[in-house]
Amino acid sequence: MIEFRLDAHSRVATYTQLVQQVKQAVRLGRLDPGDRLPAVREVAESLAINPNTVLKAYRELELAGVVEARAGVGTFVRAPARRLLVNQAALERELSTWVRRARAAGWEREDLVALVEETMRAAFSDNERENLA
Amino acid sequence: MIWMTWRQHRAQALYFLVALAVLAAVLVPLGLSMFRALTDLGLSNCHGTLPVGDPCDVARNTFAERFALPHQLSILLAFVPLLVGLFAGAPLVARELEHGTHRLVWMQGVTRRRWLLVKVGLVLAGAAAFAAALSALVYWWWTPYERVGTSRFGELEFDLQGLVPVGYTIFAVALGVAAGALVPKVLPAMAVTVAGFIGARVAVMVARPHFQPAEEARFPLFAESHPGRFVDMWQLSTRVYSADGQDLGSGLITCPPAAEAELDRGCAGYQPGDYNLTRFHPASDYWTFQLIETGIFLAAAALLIVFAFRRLRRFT
Amino acid sequence: MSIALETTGLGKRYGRQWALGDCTLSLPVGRVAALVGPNGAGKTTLLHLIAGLAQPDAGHVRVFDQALVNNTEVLARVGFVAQDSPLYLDFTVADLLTMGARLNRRWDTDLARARLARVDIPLDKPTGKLSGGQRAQVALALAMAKRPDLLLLDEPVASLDPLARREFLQALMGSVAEDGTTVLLSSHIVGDLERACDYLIVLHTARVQVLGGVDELLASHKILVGLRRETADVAGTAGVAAVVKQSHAGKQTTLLVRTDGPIHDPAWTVEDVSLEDFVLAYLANSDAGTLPGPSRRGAST
Repeated sequence: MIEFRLDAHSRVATYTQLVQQVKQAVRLGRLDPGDRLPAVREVAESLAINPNTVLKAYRELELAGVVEARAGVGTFVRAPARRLLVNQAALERELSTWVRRARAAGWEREDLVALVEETMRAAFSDNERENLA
Repeated sequence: MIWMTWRQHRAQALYFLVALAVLAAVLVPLGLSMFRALTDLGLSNCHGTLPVGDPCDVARNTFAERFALPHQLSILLAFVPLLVGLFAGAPLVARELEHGTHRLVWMQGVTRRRWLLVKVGLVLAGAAAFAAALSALVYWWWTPYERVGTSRFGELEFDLQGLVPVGYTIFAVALGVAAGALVPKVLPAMAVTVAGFIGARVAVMVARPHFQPAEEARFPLFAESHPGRFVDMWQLSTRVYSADGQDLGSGLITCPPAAEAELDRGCAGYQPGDYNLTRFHPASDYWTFQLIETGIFLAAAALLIVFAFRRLRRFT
Repeated sequence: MSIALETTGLGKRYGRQWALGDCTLSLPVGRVAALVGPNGAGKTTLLHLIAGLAQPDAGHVRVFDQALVNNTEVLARVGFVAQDSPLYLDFTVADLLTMGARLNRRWDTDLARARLARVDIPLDKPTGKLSGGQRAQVALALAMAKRPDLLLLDEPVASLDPLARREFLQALMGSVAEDGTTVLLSSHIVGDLERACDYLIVLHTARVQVLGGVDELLASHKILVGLRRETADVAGTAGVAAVVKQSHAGKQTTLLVRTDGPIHDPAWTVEDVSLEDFVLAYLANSDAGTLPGPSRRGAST
């Protein structure tokens, strides 16, 4: 069973934090397929958050294929489908070239990160943004 | 709401019950000893108005002197209705409003009207029962005093027994409730209750002699025989007048016939033809006066309760 | 979407002073709404009017589409916890439960007992001997035992220590999850509310300044950070509907703006707004508001 934590000072929305924690737990093997997520009421009560927020998170996880809701029983982790990243090799090469060019021009690590963040912010809409972590 | 009122006031009810028991514990043995004294002093056969010097009269004075202290202390009983008003009436509304608990109880599915009606109704009933019991006790305890001539109808004795203590008590409680609705804090409400009660009692006391027209008794200063000390009635005033109506001062003067009067120094300076004029209300008027005064206070109480309802209707 | 609560031009005055004026708002069923504003803004007055504890001097209030006047039916569906959780201090908790059972038509003693047991509150202690946090929990349990459809709370956690505050909000959220109660709670501390509330009402000097779902409101506002410039230059930028707050420091200008589209201007760094920043910005700018209509206009300089 996963235990949620909330970073109250993070700019990241609450439901997004919940979604990320579930995805992280699945990735690290702390949640196995078939494991049940805590009931909405439990999460709302233990974190003192709006139950609709929990519902929203669970719904998004369901849409992403990470969990499935079984009426009357609960929400369960699904076996993950292997996600293929299209054009992974080509994109990786382009990125390495770009980083080398920037470093040659004298950019520091922080400068690179700042530029990447700005560019991503502009490119992604609010609801689809994920933290770079 | 009945349970609620009981739960809120049960401690108070206990205190008043204990107070009643204490007063009974004092007055009952005292009363019994007074009744015994009546027999011992041979007063059981002395009735009504008697001439001065009669052995009954002497025995009466003995009795009056022996039990003078309880008589004087009994005036404290006049404060009981005010105390009931202060401790049962003033906090009834004021305490709720001061502590904000009205915001709890008015959300419990009870309208303000029903809330006040039941609370005031039950507390008034309890206070009235208390006052009636105490009044009956005092009425019984007073009987020996009455036998020796201290009228129940006297200025202060009137207030302690009969119906009026119930009227005063109900008025005091209603005044406390209205004060609380006016000033939603307990101590100021108590202050208003004290002021209002004293004001009302004094005003009615001043008006009391005028409830009914007074009767007059005239009898001359110089005579063979005189009517004895007046008993059982409420003497308003007794003055001496000259034959042509001139006011010669207050007092009741009895003198032997003019011929023998030179020997009596108290009768010097008066003429035959001078007379005493006593203004009074006869004993038969006692219950009428009790009813009138009680009625006044009950009517005032009703008005105060209506005021309290009106005030609370728009209170937040 | 059904409406739990609706007010139209609602106003209340004490003497000649209007504590609340021209208050028009609606609250959908199932929301947990935050009522925020500085002290004296009229939050308590508004809650008293909705709870039926006060009568309006102007306008109307309807709860579940019914008027409140002499309407014991609908008032039975409203629960209220007043400021500082007033309780009868000489009553034990059990006495208060008896009071509730005797006076209310709808009363769930078991629910109250369960809630109190969950926070370890003994039933036989006079409430005067409980801590502030425990009294708040008792007041909440009493209000919830009525099984209300609308729950009103006036600064329920203002005088509580952080732990008691947390426990109170936990109990409240647990109840909302179980019963789907619509909640309206007032606070002048915004931080606590961000996690619990999904609807926002901002009262400023007795009027409604902001009204709407938290997600929608925050989605339609952004913080812009960029090189120092006058606000007049921003007005024309695509995506900026109105500037709510501006501050200048050295070579940097920070703006909080209401948007009506995406902002692509590279001169600005665009950031999300937290609920706290949002509320503070509007409270500092009494001319701004998110309501349509002639009485409110977007701020500009």
